[in-house]
Amino acid sequence: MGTVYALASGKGGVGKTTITANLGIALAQRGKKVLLVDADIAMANLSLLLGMQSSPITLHDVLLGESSLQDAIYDGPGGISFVPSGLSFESYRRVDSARLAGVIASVKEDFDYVLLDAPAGIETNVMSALSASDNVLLVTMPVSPSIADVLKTKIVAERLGAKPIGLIVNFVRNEKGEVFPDDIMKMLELPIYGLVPYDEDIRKSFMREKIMPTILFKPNSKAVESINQIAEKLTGVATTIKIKKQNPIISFLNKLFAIFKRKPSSKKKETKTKKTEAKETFDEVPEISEDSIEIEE
Amino acid sequence: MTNTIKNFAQKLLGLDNTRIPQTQLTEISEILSKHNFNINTTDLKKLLGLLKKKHLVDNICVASKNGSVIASTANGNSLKEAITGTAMFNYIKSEIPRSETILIKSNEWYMIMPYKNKVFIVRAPASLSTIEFNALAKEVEDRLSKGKSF
Repeated sequence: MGTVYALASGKGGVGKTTITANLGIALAQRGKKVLLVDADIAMANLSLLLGMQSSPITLHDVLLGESSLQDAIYDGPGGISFVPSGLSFESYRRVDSARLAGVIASVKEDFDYVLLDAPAGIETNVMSALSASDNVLLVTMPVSPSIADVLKTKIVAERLGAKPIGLIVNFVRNEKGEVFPDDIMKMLELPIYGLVPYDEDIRKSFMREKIMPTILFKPNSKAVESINQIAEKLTGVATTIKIKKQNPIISFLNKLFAIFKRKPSSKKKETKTKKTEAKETFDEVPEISEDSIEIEE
Repeated sequence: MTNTIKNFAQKLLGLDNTRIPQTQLTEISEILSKHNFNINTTDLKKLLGLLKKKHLVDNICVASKNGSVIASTANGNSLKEAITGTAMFNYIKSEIPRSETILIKSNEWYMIMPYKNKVFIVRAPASLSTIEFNALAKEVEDRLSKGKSF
C-alpha cells in the first residue's frame, strides 16, 4: 500500500506546486509508482506546470460524483500519473472537498507514493487535503511570515489527525536576515527534509513556450539537486543535505561576468567558511538511518 | 546592474541593515507551545475536556442514538443536550435521509453529527467543518473502542 503525502504551507507562493511536481518526477525516476493530485481545488495550477491544463475529466468531476478517480488519472511527464483539478469556477462552487479522503483512499494501493498539492491557507480545502494524507510535508521559506503560517498549518494538521513529518525549506539564499535551518527545526519541532536553494532555473521553467518541471529540462540545477535529495530521503536512502554559500565578492564578480557572457554563471567555486551542523533524530522517520544536515556558509 | 553595485557597496560600507527578527520568532515559538495537547488519558471526561481545548469548542456531548448520555463536558444539563440533540437529529434524518451533519446558528453554533452509532453534539462559537468534526468524533471513538477503563 502506498503512502499519501500532503505538501502544505499555510502561506501561498512558497513553492509547494513546484516542489510537488519536481519531487514526484524525482520519485518516479527512482522506479516508484507516483500519483500527483492537484488538491488545490479552488486555485489549481499543478496542471499548468505539468503542461496538462486541457484534461477533460478532473478532480472536480470525481468529487461531484460524476466520474471515477480512475477516469481522471492521466500519464504525466517524467513517468508520473496525475490527477488535475478543474479550472471551472462553476464546478468548484459545487464540489464537496470533504470527499477527497475517500477518493484518495480508493487508489492508495495502486501507487507507492501519492503526493497531494495542498492549497494555501487553513480553510476547508486545505483541511480536506490534510485529512486525506498519511503524512504532511510542510513547505516554508526561511523568513518569519512564512514560518508563522506553516506553524498554523502544523497545528491544524495535528488537530485533524494528520502527521506532519518534516519541513522543506524553499528559496534558501543564505542571506543575513534569513532564519537558520536549525532554528526553524527547533521552532516547528520537525526535522528538515530538504533545503532548496533559490534557483533562477525554477523561475525560468515558467517562462518557456512549453512549461515543464525544471527536473526535466535542467536536471543538474541546484534546486533539482536538493529535490533529488528529498526523494532519496523519502525512499529511505540516507542523504546529506548541503547548501553552499558563496563569498559575496565572488558572487558579485560572477554576476558581473555573467552579464558579459550573457548566460548564468557557474557556481562551482566554494569558499572555506565555518561549518554548522544541525542533527535531529525523530521517531517519526523510522526508515532513515542517518539524518544529517550540513550547511556550508 | 545598479542594484548589484548598490548592494555590493552597502555590504562593503556595512550599511546592510537586514537581520533575523528574533522577537517575532520568539512569539511564533510560543504559539506552538500553547497548542500542544497530550490526550493520552484514561479518563473520558478529562479527554473530552482536552478535546474541547484542542478543537476550540465550548461543549462536547456524546450520546447514543436513543438519547442516553455516554459522556459530556456540560455540567448539569448533559441529559437535556443529549435528548434534544438526538431527537433533532432523528427528526431531520427522517425528513432528509441522506443528511450527514446538522448545523444550527443561534448566538453560537450547535452541530450534530452521527458517528458509528453515536451522536456527537458540539456547541462552539464558530462552525466546525465536517472534516474537523469527523476528526474530533474519531478521536473519541478510537478511545472508546480501545476499551480503556473509563
